[in-house]
Formats: sequence, C-alpha cells, structure tokens
Amino acid sequence: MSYIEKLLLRMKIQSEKAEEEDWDGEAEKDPQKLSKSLETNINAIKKEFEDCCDLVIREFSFGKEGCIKAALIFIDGLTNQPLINDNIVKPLMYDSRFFRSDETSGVSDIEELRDRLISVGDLKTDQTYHELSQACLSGDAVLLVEGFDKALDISAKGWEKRAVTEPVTEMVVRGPREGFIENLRTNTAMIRRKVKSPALKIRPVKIGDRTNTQVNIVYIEGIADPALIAEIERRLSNIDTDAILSAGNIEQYIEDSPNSPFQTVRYSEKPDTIAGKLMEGRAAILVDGTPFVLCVPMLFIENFQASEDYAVRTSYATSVRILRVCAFFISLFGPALYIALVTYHQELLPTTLLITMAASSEGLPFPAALETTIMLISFEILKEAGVRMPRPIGQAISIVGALVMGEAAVQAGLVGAPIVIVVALTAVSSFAVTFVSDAVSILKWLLVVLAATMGSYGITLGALAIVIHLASLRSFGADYLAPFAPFQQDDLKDTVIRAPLWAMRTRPRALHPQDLKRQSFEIPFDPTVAHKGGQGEKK
Amino acid sequence: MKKNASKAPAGKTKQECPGALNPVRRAVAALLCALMILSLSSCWSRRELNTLAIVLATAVDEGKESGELKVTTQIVSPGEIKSGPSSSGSSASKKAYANIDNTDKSVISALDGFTHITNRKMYFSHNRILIFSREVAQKGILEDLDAFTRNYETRMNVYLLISKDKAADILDEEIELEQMPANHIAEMLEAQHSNSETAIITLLDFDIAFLSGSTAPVAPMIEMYEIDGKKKARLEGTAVFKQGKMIGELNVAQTRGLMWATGKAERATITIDTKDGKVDLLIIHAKGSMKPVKAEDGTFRIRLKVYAEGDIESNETGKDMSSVENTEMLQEQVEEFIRAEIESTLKHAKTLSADVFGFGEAIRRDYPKDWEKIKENWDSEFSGLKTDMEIDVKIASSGEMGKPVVQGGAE
Amino acid sequence: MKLEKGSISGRALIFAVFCFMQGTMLRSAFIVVVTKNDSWAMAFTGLLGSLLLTAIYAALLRRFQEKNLFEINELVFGPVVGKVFSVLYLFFFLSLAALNTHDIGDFVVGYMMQETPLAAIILLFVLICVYAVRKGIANIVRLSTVLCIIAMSAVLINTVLMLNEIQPGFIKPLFQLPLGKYVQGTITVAALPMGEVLAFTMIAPMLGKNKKAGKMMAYGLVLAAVFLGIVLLRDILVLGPMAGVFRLPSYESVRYVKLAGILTRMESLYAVVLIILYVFKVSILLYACVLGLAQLVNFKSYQPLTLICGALVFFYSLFVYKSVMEHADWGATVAPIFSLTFELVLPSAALVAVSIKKTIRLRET
Repeated sequence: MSYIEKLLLRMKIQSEKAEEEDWDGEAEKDPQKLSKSLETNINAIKKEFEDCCDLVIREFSFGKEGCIKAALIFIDGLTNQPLINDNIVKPLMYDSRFFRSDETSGVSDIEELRDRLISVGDLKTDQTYHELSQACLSGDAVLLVEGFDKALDISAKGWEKRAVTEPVTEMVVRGPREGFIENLRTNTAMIRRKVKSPALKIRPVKIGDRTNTQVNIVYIEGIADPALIAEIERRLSNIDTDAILSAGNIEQYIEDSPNSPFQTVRYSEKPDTIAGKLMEGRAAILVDGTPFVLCVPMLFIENFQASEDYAVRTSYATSVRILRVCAFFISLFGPALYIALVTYHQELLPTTLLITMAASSEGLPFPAALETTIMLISFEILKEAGVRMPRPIGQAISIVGALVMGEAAVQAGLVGAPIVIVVALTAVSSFAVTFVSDAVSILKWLLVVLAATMGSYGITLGALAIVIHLASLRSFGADYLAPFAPFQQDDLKDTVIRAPLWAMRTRPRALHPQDLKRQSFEIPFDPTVAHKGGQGEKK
Repeated sequence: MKKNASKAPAGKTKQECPGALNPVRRAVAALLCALMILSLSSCWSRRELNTLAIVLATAVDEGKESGELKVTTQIVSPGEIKSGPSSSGSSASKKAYANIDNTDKSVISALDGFTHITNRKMYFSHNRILIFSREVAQKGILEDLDAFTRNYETRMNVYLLISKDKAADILDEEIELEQMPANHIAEMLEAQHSNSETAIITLLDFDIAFLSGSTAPVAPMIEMYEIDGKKKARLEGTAVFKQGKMIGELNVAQTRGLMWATGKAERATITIDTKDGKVDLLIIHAKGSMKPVKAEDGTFRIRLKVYAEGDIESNETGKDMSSVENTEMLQEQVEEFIRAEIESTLKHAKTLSADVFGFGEAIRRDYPKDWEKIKENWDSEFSGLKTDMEIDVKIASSGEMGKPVVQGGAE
Repeated sequence: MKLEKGSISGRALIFAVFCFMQGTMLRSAFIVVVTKNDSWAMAFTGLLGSLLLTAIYAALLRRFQEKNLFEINELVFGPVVGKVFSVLYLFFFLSLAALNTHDIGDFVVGYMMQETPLAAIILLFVLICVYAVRKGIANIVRLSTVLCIIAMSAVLINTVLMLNEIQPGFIKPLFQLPLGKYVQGTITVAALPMGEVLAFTMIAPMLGKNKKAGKMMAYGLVLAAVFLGIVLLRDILVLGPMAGVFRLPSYESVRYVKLAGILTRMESLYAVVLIILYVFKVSILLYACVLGLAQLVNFKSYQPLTLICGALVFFYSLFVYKSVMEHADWGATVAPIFSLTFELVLPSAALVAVSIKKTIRLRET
C-alpha cells in the first residue's frame, strides 16, 4: 500500500512542479524598445542572433556626403535579394534629393523614408527588439537609421517554394487540380480566387512559443456562425506549446474528442474543397508551412464526400457515394464477418459455399480467427512499407507482397484462399474512403476480436458501441452524425445520395449557418423556363 | 466496451473526487477488464470448419432388432469436392460424400451416438431431406419428427420422403449429374412442380397437417430401381398417414388428383385419347379451391373448383386440332380427365378413411360451430361426404403451329 | 435536474417509443399462445388499452411540465411517501431491465451460441447499455429515427419475402374463442409491451417546454401497434397452427424464407435487428433506473451511478427467472398484473391525488 501511496505522491509533486515551470514565451519578456543609437541597436541584434551565420547586417551610409548612417538587417535565404538591391538600397543611395546641396542635410523623420523613398509595397515601422527579430525571421528586411528609435520593416519575402501542383493525397478526375503549398499567403490567395468577396475574412493568429507559426482563420461573414469563430479563436489561444510543425499538431489541440479514433476536424489539400466548405458555413484554419488546411466543424458524412461529386452527373455521383459507403462497411466489417460466419454461424452460408469453404480449409493448421489476424497484420505492414519506401523499391514491394505472400501462403497450406480474398477486398475498400481509413484500421481490430470470441453477437454489439460513440461526438457544436442522428430531412440531400444541385436549397442545418438559403429554385428545375433573379439576365 | 476514460464525471474535478484515478490508469484498468472478460468468455460455441460433419440428408430405417432404429446420415467429404464431378463408373475415384449410420432405440439417441463413431460434430443446419422407410412409417413417425422440429439447428423446410424399401439405399444413388445424392434428390423434389404428380411436403407442412385433428398428412414416396447396373431413385406415389402412422398409398394418378383438388398443381401433361389419335396437352396454370356448402338439412357438401389453362403440346392425330370445335372437344375431354382423377383419389381416400384433402379443415374454418358437433365422427362423415365438382379448362393456344404437318397438307 | 432540456425533438420521441416496443413485438409468443389465430386483432384492442394508460401519463406530465416521474411523485405525495413510490417505480424499472436482458440472453444462447454461458452474453450486453447511458441517453434517442427505419424495413422486407408462403386460410375461423381469452389477450398486450411506455415519462422532460409528450407517445404506440399487427398476421398466415407451438414464431417463419435459392437465412437480419432493439430498450430502462436512483439519494449528477446500476441489472437478470418455461408461464399469467400495478395503479393514484389537491385548493380560495 505504501508504495502506491508514494507513487501517487510523487506524481502529484511532479505535476505541481510542471505547472510552475511553464515556459514563458519570449513575448512575456519586457518588450524592449529600440534606441536612437545605431551602434547600440546593431550590437543588440548581433548579441541576440549570435551564432546565426545567416543573418546579414549591411551597414551603409547615404545622403549628402554619406552623412546618414544606416544598417539593413535581413536573413539570407528568406529574402528576395533583387528586391533588396533595387528597391531598398538603390533608392537610398541614388536618390537625387540628397544631392541637392541646399536642401536639408538629413532626414527629419523615418517616416519620410517610408513615404518617399522606399519603393516597396508593404512597409511598417517597428519599435521593439522583439518585433524587429520577428520581422527578420519572417523574411522582412529591417532598416535602422542613426538617430531614430524606430525601424522600418520592409517586406522582402522570397524563399524557395514548391510550385502549385496536383495534390498527392486527393486525386480528381474532373475538377480543378490545384493544391495548396507550404506558403501561407499563397494558400490564402488561392482561396481568395475562389471566393471573390470582401465577406471572406482572414484572421491571423500566432501559435507556438518558439516556432511562432502563423495561423490564419478563414471564414465567410454572414454565413458562418459567429459563435463558431469565437470558439475557434478561444481554442487556438489556449494552445500553450512551443512547437507547431504541421496542421495535424493544431488539430490535436483543438479537437473535441482527442481519444476518439474518428476525426472531428477535416483536412484538405485542395482550394475548391475548402471554398465549398466555407460556403456551407464552416471555417478553415490555414497553417504556415503545411499544405494541409483544417476545416471545422466536421460531420461524419464528410468522409464520403469529395469535391468532385458536385461536378459530375447526379446519378453517377449518387452511385459513387453509395459505393463509398459500401466500401466503408466492407473495410470495417469484412474480416470480422468472415470470422463470425466461418466459426460460429455456418448455417448462414449457402450450402454450396459452405462446402467449398470447408474444402479449402481442410488441413489448415490455424483456426480462422488466427489466420485472419496473420493476414491482416501482414497487410498492414505491407501498406506501411509501401508508403515509406523510396520510389524505386516501392514497386517491388507491391509485387512481392501481393503475389508472393498471398499466393505462396495459400499454396503452402498456411492460410485458405477465401481469407486472402477477404483481406484483399478489405484493404482495397479502405483505400476508397481515405479519410476514415485511420479509424477503420483500429476499429477493425476491435470487431475482429469481438467476432472471434462472440460471433455475430459480438459484431452487433461492437457495431452498436461504435454507433453510440459516433452519436455522442460533437465537432465544434455540430452533431457528428447529423443529419442522421437528429434527423434533419432537408439535409439528407447530400449524404448517401447526391441530389441535383438545384435541389440543394439550404445549407446544412447542423452547422448553424446564419444565412440558411443558398438558392431558390423550384423543384424540379427546368432550365428552359425563365427564373426571376437569375444572375445571367441581361439588364 | 471502450470507456471514454479522459472525460471525468461531469462537474467534478480532481479535488472534489479524491478517489478518482487519472485517465491513464482508468484506461489500463478498463483494458485489463476487457481482456479478462473476453478471454474468459471466449469461444465456447466456436466450431471450426474442419471439425464439422455437414449433414445433407438423413434416413431412418428399422434396426436389426425390434424397437431399434438405424439412422444413416450423408455427410459431405469436403476434401473430395476439389476434384470435379466424378466421372461415371470409375470406382477408383472417391465419392464426395460418406454415409454413416448408427443404430439405437430412438432417433435422437442414434444421433447422439454418432459422437462415438466420428471425429466430427454432426451439423444439421444444411440437412435437406429426411427419409423414413415404409416400415418405420407404418409404426409411426411422430416421436421421431419431434426431435427434428425442436432442435434449433434444423430448419422447417427440410423435405420429407417415405421410401418404399430401405431408406439408406436411397442415399447410395449413383448419378452422373450431381456429386451428392442428397442435392440431387432435393433438387428433384423442387423440380416436381413441372409434373404435379408428386406432393412436395416439408416438415412444416407435415406438422401443420398433423396439428389439425381431421386432415391426414401425406408425404411423397421414393423408390430405387436399377438400370444398366446403376442404382437410381425415382419419386412415385404418395404415402397417407393417419395419427402418425402410414396407412396407405396413393398412386401417381391419384396424387395428381389430390394436387388438382387442393390447388397445388402447377404444370401437368395430360394425354387425351381422341378417336383419331392422341393429343398431349400441357397445363400451364392450375388453380383449385374447396368450399364447404351447408345444405338445409345441416349436412355438408364440398364444392371443388378447379381451373386449368393449357396449350396443345403435341398432336398425333393428323387432324387440325386447333379448330374451334376440336378445341372445345378437347377442353371437355380434359375436364373429364381431371374429374376422373379427382374422383379416383376421393374414392381411395374414402376407402382409407383418410381426409387427405383437408375437407375437415375447410369446414372448421367456415362453420366452426357445426364443426364442433361433427368432429367426433369425422371418419364416418367423411366417407359419406358428397362433393360437387366444377372444372373449367381453357386451352389458350396450340403451340407454334396451327394445322399439323401431314403429307400433302400444303395442297 | 441536469437533463439536457430541449435536446430531442418530438419526432425522435415517437420513433423511440416505436423502437422500444418493437423489440418485444418480435418475440410475440406470449400473445399467440393465448389467442391463437386471432392474435393480430389483439394488437389493436391492446392499443386501445394502452392509450388509456398513456392518457394518464400525459395528464401527469402536462400538469408538471419538464419534470420526470420521480420528481412528480415527490411533488404530489410529499417527500416521504413520494420516496416510497419512487422506490417502487425503481424496482419496477430494474425488474423490467433485468427481464429484458435475460430475455435477449436466452435468445442468443438458445438460437445462436448454445454452449456459451448466459452470464458472458449478458455481461457484454449490459456493458454496451452502460456505455450508451454514459454517453448520454439523448444521443441514443436521437438515433431512433434511423433505427426505426431499419427496423421497419427489416419487418417489411421479411414480410414481402414471405408472401410466397402465405396460406390465407389459416386466419379462419375468426373470433371463435371464448371472450375471456380475448380479454386476457388485450390486457396482456396493453400491459406488457405497450404499457412499458411508462419509462418514457423519465425521458419526456428532454422535449422541452410546451411539447406534448403524451401525444408523441400515443403516436408511437399507434405505429407500434400497426407493426405488431403486421408481424402477427404474417406469422399466423405462414405457420398456421404451428404458430402457437413454437417458442419464437417470428423467428421460425423468417427462417422459412427461400427465394430463388439465394435469399435464404434471413433470420440473421432478424437476429441483428432484435439485438439492436433490445440494447435500445434496456438502455432507456437503465437510464430510468439511474436517474431515479440519483434523485432518490439526491445526487447532483447521475454519471457515477451508471456502472453501479449496470452491475445491479446484471446480477438481477441472472436470477430473475430460472428457465424459459418459467418465463413463458409468468408472461402469460402473472406478468400483466405485475405490470399493471405499476403502470396503472400507481400513476392513477398520483393523478387522483393531484386532482384532490387541486379541488381542495380551489375550495379554499
């Protein structure tokens, strides 16, 4: 007993200490202002950026006879060198005003430089060392002038970035092929190009004590629920860590149920997907440095929706949706059902099928549950290896895996042929619904264990437990299983079926949008009849 | 089974609830409990496929000593299924099935006794046919049927058959088309709709017929015959039961009469002997209904209505049977034919004093109060029961030809 | 209390009542044994009887808006007598939960996995119900619409597939049994499946203000009665006199389906739907127990009690009856009286007490 008490006491003390030692961000420090002396400023910067060899401090003087001393500080690699040369250094050095002898010999205010000389679009003044260092680290060039305690923060961002290409994780057949890249501003620009309205608001947040990652919250005012935006901001401001390296990190801090295997925050790599979700009343969170954009709130049914569905024909889109739902069920229940049927409920198989399966399981050493487990584990290893392998070897893995392991295992009499088919079908189905495949690959095991011990009774109860869990999930105030769980008939148009676009008159109610109506066509829609209020009407 | 361990009870923090464990501990505890529950509760009812003996057919015979029954089951031999259908005659190729038998005092003890002989557990959910031999049927099959109805594995749509000789021999039928005799016989039964000369009875039908106090249940009969040295099975006739014991038989024509009267006939082929030759007709639809009619003096008459619709299948007369008078003549002759069949069945049933048609049930449904009075002497009532038959035959077409092809017919 | 007010819609309540009843409907042997081939009519006469019960509950709920049954008891009878009544109701809900749990355990053991001990099956079942109550019963009730659609489709699909095997003559003779049997049948149907709508008086406060819980419950009962009629009719027409012989006529008649050699073995669908419906039912009963217990001992939140109540139900269900035969016997003879005591006598006592109090107060003023 006393050992446990000691353990508990130790853990308590540790947690108390950890609370005290909370890392204070640099922002807590007293923001120290710049001094008027150039020398002091430069020395302070040099000290702060000691051992940072990529910091460049270019001291120069301009004006009549070089009477004005100045220094330009920037980080090599983050800045656009031609811009610094042409738009900052050149105007300062060659401006004719300074050569007129009867004019004032100096500059009265740094603002004058800003207003008259520096020909760069984005320009700010900084007053503290902290702002200065942040500016340098963001890729700006800072101009310090002797005698002024303000610095000019000149935007000179230019670093190597990836070209806009087709996103790797979301392939489309018919639809735009742009994908987000790692640069935040380019991403917001891509969204802006889809929604050309000033109602598209972008709010900046900085997260991460040491990484100081830029995060933008994007939403459409007038559609998105203000409570949602307030909640997002509150959760983002609650993040108290020192490193945010990807959108996935942020997702884990802000999501409603961290322990649930199901995602409650959607991510996407395509601007048109995000724009579509913004129009429904959601908000997007863009993180600098990662091409994945988060989108909240998320509903379960979004796992089966793709942006391409809205670009193809209604009947085809509906059939593909239904197919995806079937694939989800196959990937979740496939192995478990196989085990339950073969081990417990042989009366549910048609006689001929049962005889064939009995024939193929003659002489096999393992019970059905064990051989399923073996095959599933081998397949998971194969899948993971295929993702991480360098490309030349990756091809060999797939051939080795499929042919050798499956075929040879059957030939050697280790596993039966039906189980190889079941596992292959399960695996392929899980690729058809990629968003939910993480959850599926965990829950699949739970169902396999339940099936192996309790047969289809176990599967039923396991499935019920999953459904109960899903019904109790909330995503930023929206019910996860809407429109099924609180049954909203109007929203069923975009779930398993995809109703024609002219029939989807309202936005999903589960997201509590402010402007419920999207369009006001009469159902059924007849394009040959004139509609009032059509935008294409020529006035 | 997954507890959401991170959510503390609503409204309580760690300070208010001093005994609460932190989330990691709770998760570990829950996991341990789950593992223990599942492993302790695991797999009692687990049956691996290679420990099952899948029974496809069961046959019950008399054992060597009196009072004993021999139960033969036909089990699938899955290992032999891989090789395709066995070619005829080669005795070296193994059969895809095995017939195992056991003898004991009753059916259920014989079935239990199988565990002494085989290494696999008998699995009855795919049992398709149940054959009783004539001797067993004459002694009474009710007790044996109870075991099959009560068991949760067996299904009610298993077919019931009575064999004329030994039931176990039926299971040794040698056929080229199927790998297993059980499948062959079961599918043969299902195909009997096309001749309507066999009563297709499932266990449910038999039990329902037996539950009514007046109806005599029937079951089809099957016999073995030899041709070219091979043993084959043939469905012929119907067995009539009373109080669970077999008391008589109906031959093929009488069985068809029963089918017409009870409305179970579907397709049939009728051969009419006209003065010019034979004409074969194919009946495509047949409907029958029986309705009790109460006369003024309180006695009952049964009105049987049969409606049949058919085509001319073959015309061997050489005359044009598709003309209107000839068609009418044919219709009348078919009506006579059907009437004769039904009357033959009626007469035989009255001799056996067995109400195979279900007249008693019909009276009970429509006139329950009168039924209470006469149900005690139903046997004698049945012998004196009069029937009115209304038979309506329609010949819809004469096939693809009108006039027959005869020599010189084109001129 | 800490109920989520206004968190379920009226329509969800209707379908929840339907799903609640549907589980017991599918195990309808207790009616067929009594009234044989007229059992389908008992569905409708039983509905009338249960509408009477619902009227009593609706009247009580209307007078005390947003209060559940236990709170109403305390308000009407005062703290001491009210608690006595509450204990009685608690016993009733616990018994119902235990009976239903044992029932579904019997089904699984009898028809699916014979060698598994009952305790293992019931344990897993109770754990799922406890999980459901912990996650919030409002979520489960919201699922009722989808569940109702699934259950209805299952019944309809099975019925359509069995149309081939129907023999219409089985329904005759009509109404030939002595009147006493019909009365017994009506009371059984009104008390046993339908009267259990009492449990919904614990959930009714979730509807929010000014919503007529009684009306929703009545609609749900009507829907349930219609489907009970369909199921009974189907079983009688397929099985005939055997319907009174089998322990589970619906299960056997579904087993008989054989369409084109492919659509066989539909009883698996039936079994899955039955288990799901029973989980739903026992979750709601468990919630009623937990909430009642929490109010009896004045807990602020019912969450810690879920596991305790679950354990109670588990152990109680193990010994609530010894064998299936005893259960069938109890269901036919004693059960209606037992149920009616709690469903009819106690609530009407409460209603009478309220009316008396009101008239006394009116006379005083």
